[in-house]
Amino acid sequence: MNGSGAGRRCYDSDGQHGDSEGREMPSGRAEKTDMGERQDGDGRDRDRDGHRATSGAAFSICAPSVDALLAAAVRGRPEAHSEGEVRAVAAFREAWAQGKRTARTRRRDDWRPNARRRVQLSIRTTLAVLLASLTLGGAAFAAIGSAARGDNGGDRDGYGDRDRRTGTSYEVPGRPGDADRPAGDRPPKTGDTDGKSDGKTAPDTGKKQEKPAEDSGKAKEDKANKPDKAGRPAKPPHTEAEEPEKPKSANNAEETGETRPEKK
Amino acid sequence: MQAYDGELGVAVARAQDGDEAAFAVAYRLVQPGLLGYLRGIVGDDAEDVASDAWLEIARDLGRFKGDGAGFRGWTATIARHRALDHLRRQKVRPRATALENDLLELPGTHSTHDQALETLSTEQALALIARLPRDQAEAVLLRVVVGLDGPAAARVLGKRPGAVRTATHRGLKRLAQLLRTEGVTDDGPQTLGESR
Repeated sequence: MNGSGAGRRCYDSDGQHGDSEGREMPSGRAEKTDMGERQDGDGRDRDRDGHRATSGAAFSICAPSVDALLAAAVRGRPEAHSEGEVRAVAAFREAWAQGKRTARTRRRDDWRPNARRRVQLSIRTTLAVLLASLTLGGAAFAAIGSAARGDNGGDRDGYGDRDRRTGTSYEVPGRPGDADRPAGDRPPKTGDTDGKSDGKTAPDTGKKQEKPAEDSGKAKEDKANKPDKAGRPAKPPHTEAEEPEKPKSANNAEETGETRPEKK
Repeated sequence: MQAYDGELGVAVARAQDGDEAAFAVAYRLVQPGLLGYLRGIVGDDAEDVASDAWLEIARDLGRFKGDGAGFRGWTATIARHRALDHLRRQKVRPRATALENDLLELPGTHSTHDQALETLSTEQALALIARLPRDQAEAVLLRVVVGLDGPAAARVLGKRPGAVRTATHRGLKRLAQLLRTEGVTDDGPQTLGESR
């Protein structure tokens, strides 16, 4: 209600909004108070408007923003030939008469829009951009490395799949590779946990000796119940494929029976 | 304010060639803002400090390089140095000026917000500004009253432009709040809750 004058004024002459920064605050206030005003009733509004018609004529500007208001209030009115002006002009005359015009321009006296400063700024900007691009580039490069490693991991899985397909693995039933597997190749099923690593290691040892070692090592870490033999890369494929199998198939028969439904 | 910068630049250039009338024109264009700024810093001594500042401005005008806007910044820098010297001499904190006495007579405590907006006098406006933290008050005065742009105000204050922009924004926001709250205190507590 209190700000109704400002609000009213603002709505009446909406096109006269100033473009200063503080404008939103008064106008927001104006909206709120205008709502309050509507609730207040007509008599008081008319009274207020009448009051404005007589005394508020000088304030034709819409909802003066805070900064405009302050500027108007704080800035003094310019007076021609004031005492200060006379004194300043006298000082100017004196200084001119003394002929100090040869005084060197100090840095603090140079208020030109400075080309040098702009160059400095652009150099700084360039350096910043360079640094940022290096940082981002480094991060991207590191990401490439990790992504490649991730791909290798994928490849290993791929090998595992291939191995499984070759038929020597005792692989997890329900994996997608199992569907392709010819039934004849398949050895008697063993447990999920052991068969996985065995399937990887067994047939590969001839071709690559390192990968299965890694794999089985990892698998060992992951699953503690795995026998040590499975990870040995140097073993001939046959023995490897069959030897660990027997105890395992015996051991894990129960496990598979139990774990498989859980996994699914 | 900035509209006068072209005129001011011409006057300054002519004054640097020895034109007294042009110097007087420059004085009239710059002095109101400068005086307002000094009032915010040193209160009632602003006239004296401004007079000192103008002596230095007149003496060093030959050194100055720049346009109208630059002249505003340059003169504001000189005035600020004189004001700080003055305060140092007086050993008076800048906030402890006579302005604070005017707080008791703020319009909002006994009149409507509407009237607060319309009848904000110089003293009342300065009293409001005096309630701001020093950096915000100076930033607001330089930006709003002297009419400097952000970088120029930052150079006068010896701060980064971003800091001055923030201080100006916060100061104006706080002033708007002060104006608003001073205006509604008369209506009782229900207006403060804004739940009507």
